[in-house]
Amino acid sequence: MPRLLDTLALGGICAVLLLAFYYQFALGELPCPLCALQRVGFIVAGVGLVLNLRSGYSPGHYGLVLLTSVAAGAASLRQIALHAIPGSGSYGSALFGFHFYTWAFVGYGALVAYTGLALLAEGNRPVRDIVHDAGRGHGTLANVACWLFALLAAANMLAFAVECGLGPCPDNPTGYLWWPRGG
Amino acid sequence: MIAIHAESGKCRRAAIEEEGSMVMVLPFVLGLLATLLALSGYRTGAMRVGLATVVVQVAWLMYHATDKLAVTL
Repeated sequence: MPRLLDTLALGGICAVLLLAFYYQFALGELPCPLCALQRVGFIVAGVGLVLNLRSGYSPGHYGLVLLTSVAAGAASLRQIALHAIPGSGSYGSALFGFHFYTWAFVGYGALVAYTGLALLAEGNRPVRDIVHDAGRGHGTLANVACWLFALLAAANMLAFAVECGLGPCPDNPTGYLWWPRGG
Repeated sequence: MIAIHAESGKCRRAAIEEEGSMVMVLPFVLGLLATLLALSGYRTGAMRVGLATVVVQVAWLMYHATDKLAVTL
């Protein structure tokens, strides 16, 4: 059961990264530097879950998820604070009434809550069961989630390399540094 | 130089720009490396690179968190 929940959580992270790509490439909304840091948070959180699925459960893996959720949550909270005052504008479009940095903050809150519950659940299991789980096959669903996540992590690295090159991203990006505009 | 630049966030950003050490794609490179290590079963390596990614993530956040917020905390 914990493996299935970790797989579903990893699938959720993949869905978030896919949605971000849809808005970036289909709707032309370029991610800002704080948006980039929020994506990094989802990627590192995914690494913790992949470690659970491939190497077996460890509280250390959930520790990695917690640390990056706090760091990326701080980035999204800062972006919320930048636009919290009415009239101070916003960045990007909204989904169901909230902007993506607000949804990202909700997502990190959900990850922290999930991690806490998973640690509680695993902490009450006998160690022999946990060791037994670590030796089990990876499972098709878990494998698909892991490889899709790896593909998305690679695509994010390429996308930000093309957008920002080997330097800082502009605060309000208007194009891709390594992708010349047509015309 | 660090003492002078430590006075404000804007100056901190200028200091990093002078040193040319701000590479936005770096945490993505580290994140991908951690992912590949985790997929390959290199648990310790993946954890170390994952933690390094979080450190860079925090450093880059401090780099970008320079604008004064219009809120009372």
